[in-house]
Amino acid sequence: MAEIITQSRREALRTRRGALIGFTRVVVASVFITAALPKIVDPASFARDIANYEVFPYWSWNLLAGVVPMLEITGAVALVTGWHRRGAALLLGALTAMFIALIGSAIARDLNIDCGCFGQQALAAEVGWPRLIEDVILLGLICVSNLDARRRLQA
Amino acid sequence: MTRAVRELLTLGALATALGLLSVGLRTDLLPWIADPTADLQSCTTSPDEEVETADAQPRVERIAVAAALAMLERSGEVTFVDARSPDQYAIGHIPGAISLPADQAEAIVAVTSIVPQGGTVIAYCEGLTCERSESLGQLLRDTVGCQNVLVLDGGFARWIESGAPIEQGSGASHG
Repeated sequence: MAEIITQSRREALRTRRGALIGFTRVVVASVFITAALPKIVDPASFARDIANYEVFPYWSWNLLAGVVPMLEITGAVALVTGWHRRGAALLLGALTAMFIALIGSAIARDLNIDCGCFGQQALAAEVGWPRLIEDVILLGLICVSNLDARRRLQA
Repeated sequence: MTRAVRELLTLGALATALGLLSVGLRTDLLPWIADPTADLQSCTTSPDEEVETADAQPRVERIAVAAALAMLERSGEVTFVDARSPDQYAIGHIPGAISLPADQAEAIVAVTSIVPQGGTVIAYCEGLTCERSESLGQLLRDTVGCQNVLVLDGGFARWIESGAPIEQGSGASHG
């Protein structure tokens, strides 16, 4: 009897954990899709945002402005659909780590620029500690989204 | 090679192909290679030269720090407008500059008309390719109707690097 109760409790915990991981994946994917769409609509503005960081060579600005939003969209769709999920989490994690490094370097150099995180839309915001903290939180969520929802809980 | 890395490479290749395709299909919006001089034009650059990153409005002409400094030394010829935040302005700004934070400039200019319409106006912000001075310059040129509007090439960062004088405090601020 006790074993049946323990098993059903474990099952409930696993369901809740799965729901939480699934929700996190949807949140992460939504953030990246929201970030990518304005950049796809207005790639020239995003190219200028990239140039403003004064890190990349000029010949890469437009190419990055084309490729980065596609990396975000592809990673987001793969994460939420489950196709190549681990690769998607790795890709989005690598992108976010790169954003953290860029924002950190801009803060260190005291650059007063727009971060380009969400293109030139209403969500656009100046580079600074709030953006850095947001990206660190996002990186944490990506780690959670990479957990295996079906993994058996330890007894 | 682990499965995750293989998946990463697959997704990366797919996204890169899509990204390059999107640039290739929309070269009217975004050429393959950006023009490195687009944000570094000097005041001698012909205004007919098109900037390759697309813009609805023609970009404001640039002026080099040395030329701007020479104009400042011939006092009365030029008005500097600072597009940065009031805090940054208070820490240090070009002598005599007016503070017009880019996010508040439209309201300020409409209400007070503090920027003189005669003479040369030079907008600046912090960095090398900072867009705030560009948008403020366009506002002053297109909305306020200033005749000679320029953007300081390299912004305040290059002004300091060149050893040009700065002023501190918020005395001339309108932000």
